[in-house]
Amino acid sequence: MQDTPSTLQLGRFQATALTVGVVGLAAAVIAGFLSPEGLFFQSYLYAFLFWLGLALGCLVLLFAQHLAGGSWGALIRRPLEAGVAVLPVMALFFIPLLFGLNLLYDWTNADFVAKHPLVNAKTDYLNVPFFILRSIIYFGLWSFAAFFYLHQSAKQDRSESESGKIAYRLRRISGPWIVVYVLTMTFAAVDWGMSLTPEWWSGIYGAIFMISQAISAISFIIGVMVVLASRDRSIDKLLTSKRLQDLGNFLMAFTMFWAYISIGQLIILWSNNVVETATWYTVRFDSTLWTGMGLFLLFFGFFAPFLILFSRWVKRKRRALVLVAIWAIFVQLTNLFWFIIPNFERSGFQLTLLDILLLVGIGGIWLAVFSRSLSSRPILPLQDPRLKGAEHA
Amino acid sequence: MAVSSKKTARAVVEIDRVIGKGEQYGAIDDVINDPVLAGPLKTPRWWWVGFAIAMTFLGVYLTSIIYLITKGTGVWGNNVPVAWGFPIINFVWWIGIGHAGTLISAILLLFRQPWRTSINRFAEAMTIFAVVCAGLYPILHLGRPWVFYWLAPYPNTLGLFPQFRSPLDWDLFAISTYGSVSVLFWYIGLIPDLASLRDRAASSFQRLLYGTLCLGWNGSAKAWQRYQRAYLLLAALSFPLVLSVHSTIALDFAVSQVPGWNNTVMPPYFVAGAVFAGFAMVIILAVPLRKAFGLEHLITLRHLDNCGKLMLGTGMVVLYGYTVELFMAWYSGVEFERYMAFNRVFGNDHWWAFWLLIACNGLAIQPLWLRSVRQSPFWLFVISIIVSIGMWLERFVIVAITLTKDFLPSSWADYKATFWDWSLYLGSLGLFATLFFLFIRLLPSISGTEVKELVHHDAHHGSDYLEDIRADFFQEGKTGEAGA
Repeated sequence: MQDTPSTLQLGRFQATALTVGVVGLAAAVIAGFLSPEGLFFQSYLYAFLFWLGLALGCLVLLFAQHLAGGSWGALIRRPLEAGVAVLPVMALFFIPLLFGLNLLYDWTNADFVAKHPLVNAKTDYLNVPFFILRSIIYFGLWSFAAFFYLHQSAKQDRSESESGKIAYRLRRISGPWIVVYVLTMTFAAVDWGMSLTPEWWSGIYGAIFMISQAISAISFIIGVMVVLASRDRSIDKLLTSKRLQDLGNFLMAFTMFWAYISIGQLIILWSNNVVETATWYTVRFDSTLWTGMGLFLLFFGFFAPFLILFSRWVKRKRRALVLVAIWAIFVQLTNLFWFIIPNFERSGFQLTLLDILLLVGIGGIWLAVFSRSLSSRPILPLQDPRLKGAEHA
Repeated sequence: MAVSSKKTARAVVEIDRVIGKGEQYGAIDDVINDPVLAGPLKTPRWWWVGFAIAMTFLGVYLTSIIYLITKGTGVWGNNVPVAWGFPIINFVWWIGIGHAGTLISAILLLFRQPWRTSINRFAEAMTIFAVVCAGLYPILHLGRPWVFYWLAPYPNTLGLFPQFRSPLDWDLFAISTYGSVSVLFWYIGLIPDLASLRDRAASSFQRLLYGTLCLGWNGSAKAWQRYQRAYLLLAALSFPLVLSVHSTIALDFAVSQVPGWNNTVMPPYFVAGAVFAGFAMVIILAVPLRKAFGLEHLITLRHLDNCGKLMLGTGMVVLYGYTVELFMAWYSGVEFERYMAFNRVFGNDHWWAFWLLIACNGLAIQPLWLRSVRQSPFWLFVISIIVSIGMWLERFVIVAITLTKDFLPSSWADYKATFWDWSLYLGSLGLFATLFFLFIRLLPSISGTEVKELVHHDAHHGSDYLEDIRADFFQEGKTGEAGA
């Protein structure tokens, strides 16, 4: 490797992202006071879940690449680590939600619970103290994982003789960490998303959240890698069309799995046609708007990218794959919107200014932390044994 | 210290080699083809013993079917409410086993995983035989198996047409598609190997047999090109089948309103369970096979290691399914769902089945986290047997125990399997084993063509270069530490 990978200078980008974030959040707070009660928290939950999902997607991909990744894993490791570094910040972003619990979740309301025996039956799980305790556990574990992996990674950078040992250690613990992620995220999805419709339940719901996070994260990483390749020669050299195709294949496989379990859920709940489980879809198939969005997800969220990603040419061309990746992120934003917002029975046009302000606000801070972490270290993990000889593969 | 550093580094950087170093084309042909072409008198004794046992059980199978057809389905333990007893349990068990073969042959081919090569042929055979065993169960379960074709939408004067909203009818299409695509895929893959058998055949009968079967293969570039294309196309066609077949079977259960069945987690969880059970069966077959034919250098520890990893991964997904099932049953707040979960776990009659299944599918696979266990044929074999039992128990719990106690306590009833339930099940194992013994005697159980491709790859575009680079890297670590 003749070109030593540089440490990126992202100062300007970071400052811009931070400014956008702070301004966006400030504007959102002002708009929140002027909006009807509860609207702020609805939008906040939506934006928070998206950006948290992106960070968690990076976390699980980081585990996966340590566990099974070849040189492609080492190549995207830094951006993944930078995404993971945002997790502790996302834990802080969770705190404001606690002030809106009673506006978001019906099960916090004693009258509602008294009238709904099915909800009453699960108050052992759905109650505010336990809800908060669980959230502390989730964020505790995720933040711990973030610190631990970043710490080990920094250690690996410093010492060449230890690098093999550290890589081996990270590989060994990544399997159990995936188990931790899957379990915590399953329950987190129940808490934050599913319990918005407290009578409703669906076993696959957590998995849909997880795969959606993975799609967002791999799309984001594809975008970041292509941008990095245009700025750094060593990355440019390593991001061969074959490795790009690997990333594209991931995006395709995730998209297929997402569609598979989403449609499976629909077929099963629609066929069951039971009050407590069909509720979720009755709301979503009641109005033209929500039905249309569902159909959009099917045709443009699944079929279109699926058919496009069949093409090897697309997966091997940087610019083409980035376009598909951006589209995939937009689809996942829509998917989350379709999951969260219909529960609130808003009137009129469903997308509000607050949704956008908070998405941009939290996103700005997210990207600022991300770029700070990304620029703090060399852009390639040079001591990763999997990178040895990678330029020939 | 130096050794351990090399070991750690090796563990991180997988060596790209799948088969032993320095294999020769001719030697591979010898190893794969000779047992097939050997005369009847040269058949090894272990084969005759195994085949005789398998045939005995096949006899049990046929007897059970004859008895079943003369007497009717009342000979089974099926009752109301447990209308789906052993036949459906065994059906799901068998069809699940087939999935590993399809995954190995189709998905791993498309993902360009070289380690599929030595194990794909017999895994595909396993798939076909498992589908045969599976497919017969729903037909026998009909009660009047001779009219099974009523399930197909064909014009008739009976005023009869299938109910397309019933997943039981989807099964017909899922399984027949699965069966035919699997057979086609397997056969197309066999053609060059059959030609190689024809060319080496010693007797005119063998020449005639394999010459006919290989469809006049002449080994020209054009034939190879078409062969490759057909093979890839069929692989792409099989890809969705891995997901769709077992998802359809999961829907048989999930679209109903029966507590414990109507869970949205069912399709992916069933698919994972199928692959899980399938890889267990692949290991059960591979471990004796490589020993018996001396194939240790072709079905290497790397293959077993990877099968072990896949078994662990899918096993963990299955365990996730159990967790979600139980939690959701409680979280639903629905009385019937909660009672179903309670009955499975603590119910008086069958609690042991649930806990045994957790022990088999949950605990027994945990040693697979260790490389040393994954690379020990003995332990892999033992774990695979346990997993096969566990996956059978899982279907027993889902199918039979769920049905014993549903909504109305007045219609609850216990389920007891009868002698004929067991004899049909053990008999189907005999059918499977008989077919498998015939297969390994009459056809090459490893794909010679594809293994030779690997040899070629190793010799000409070998991974040695990368290995050297990596070896250098380990060397650095080693000397560094040795100096200290």
